[in-house]
Amino acid sequence: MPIVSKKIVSKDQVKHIAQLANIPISESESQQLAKDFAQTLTVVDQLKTADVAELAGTHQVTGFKNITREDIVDESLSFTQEEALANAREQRDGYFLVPQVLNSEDK
Amino acid sequence: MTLNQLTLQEALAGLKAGSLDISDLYRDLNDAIEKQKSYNIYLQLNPQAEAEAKQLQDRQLKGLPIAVKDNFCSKKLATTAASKVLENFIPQYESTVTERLQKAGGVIIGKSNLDAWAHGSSTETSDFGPSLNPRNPDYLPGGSSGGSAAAVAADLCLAAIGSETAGSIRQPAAWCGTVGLKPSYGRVSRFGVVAMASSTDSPGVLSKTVEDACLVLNTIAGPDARDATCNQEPAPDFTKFLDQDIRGLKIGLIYHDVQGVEEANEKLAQELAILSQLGAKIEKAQALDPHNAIGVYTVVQRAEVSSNLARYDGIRYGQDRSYFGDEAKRRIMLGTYTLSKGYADQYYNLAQKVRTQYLNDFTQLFKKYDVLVSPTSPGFAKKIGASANSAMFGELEDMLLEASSVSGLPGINVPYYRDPQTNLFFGANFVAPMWREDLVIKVADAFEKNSKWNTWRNR
Repeated sequence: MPIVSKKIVSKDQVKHIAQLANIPISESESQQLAKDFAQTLTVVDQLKTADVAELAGTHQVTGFKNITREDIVDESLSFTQEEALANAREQRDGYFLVPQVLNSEDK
Repeated sequence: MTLNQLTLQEALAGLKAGSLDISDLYRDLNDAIEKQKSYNIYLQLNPQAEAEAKQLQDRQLKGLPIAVKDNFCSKKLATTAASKVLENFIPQYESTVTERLQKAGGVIIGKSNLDAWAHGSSTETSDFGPSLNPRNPDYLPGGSSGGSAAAVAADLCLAAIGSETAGSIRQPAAWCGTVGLKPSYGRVSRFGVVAMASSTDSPGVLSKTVEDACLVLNTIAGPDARDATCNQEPAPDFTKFLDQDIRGLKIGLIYHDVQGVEEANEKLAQELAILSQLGAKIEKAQALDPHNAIGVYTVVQRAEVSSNLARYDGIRYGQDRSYFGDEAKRRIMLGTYTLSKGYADQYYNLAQKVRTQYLNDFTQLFKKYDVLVSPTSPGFAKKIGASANSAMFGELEDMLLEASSVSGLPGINVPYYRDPQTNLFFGANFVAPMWREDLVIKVADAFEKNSKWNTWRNR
């Protein structure tokens, strides 16, 4: 079933969302994504015809409430430092090496 | 017949009786895997499989080879979720499902292909290429558990583990002509599964027969303190629900008037006569139009994806965010959009309300019927390449499954027709109330044993 897009999503909107989501995208990608967004939102907009004003939202389906456990350290759920670092792209002195957030001018 | 073509139950019986040698089975299996390499079903094979199997002969699953979808973390093998972001990622812990499976004597034969991050219904969004449908390699196996379904259909394992968020077990099972059992949300622990949409993700089983699905589900279901959404009640022995009398069972046929599903519905109505002959009462039921469920699922899933995939920063593990494929980018960004200030009410909160509408509808339907049934997929498997140029491919293919998925209900796919020209299958989806896997197993098992469409029961 082909979807005819009724929504219009601008390239600038897409770029803004990409920035919020921390997804690097190219100029040509933003154009394609704007089209894809419009197609998807056209389908999603059908929800606005549903008669649900009186209903509460469903966020979970099991009905379970307040599932807790004793506040005791479970070693089987903990990593050693070595395990935690095993897949790190860069590490130094047993720590993760992360990109610089503040540059020297901000001091 | 080669030994890899046995069902799980047959192989277990053979090993028990001493008439089957585990090494012979692995020899046939390895040959078959080698021959079918071009189908791109496994992303990675376990080089230790046969050696492990020999050590497990005293356990429940006796070292038999199980395919595991590559979004389950396992310490021994890389876990990629079919994304370049996680290429070469070796988990430092074991998922509950693979831990229990191996403890019960199952061997991970390999990690099976999927749509990247399980986003899709074709395996075409896999960063490592699509899998081919073993029933006809010009066609897609479906997805996202497409590699697991293909592994079962091609006899490259004795059963497989998959996961479903909305159709990802049942739809590929339908397209590949296998059984696919999606348990209730919370029946099987999500601990160690690469998170997609946390409020609907449900690990489950793809298998040759309903009985095999029960044998595997028995080993993985049940409470897990490491997943707070898991049902803390012990799971039943699911094999108890096989070979049951279905006389008097009330079955509601839903989605019988949905456009574009005419052929699948016509064949289903004919085949369901088998269940009437066994004493079940089948009648047409009116369920809420499934079209809005597409919107609900799209919004809820994207929103949860944008949150779950925020963790991939390329620092602690994996590559950075520039490695995401097109589909993941689309989903993360759409989710970010629908959760952003000013749009959350318009999209996310509205979708959660419509979700309530579907839950209420099922509650009403289950006052009248024990089980609901419809075709699993609107049609047969689509051709390789079909998902390109449609940002909504999966959602439309899974249209008949989404309402039950966002409601957390258990469902099972069983084949009910094979097209003699293409060798492709239609599958029926039986759905029951929350925690009532017993009902779907009972009816699917009766259907399978009394119809001619299960490849392994009718060879």
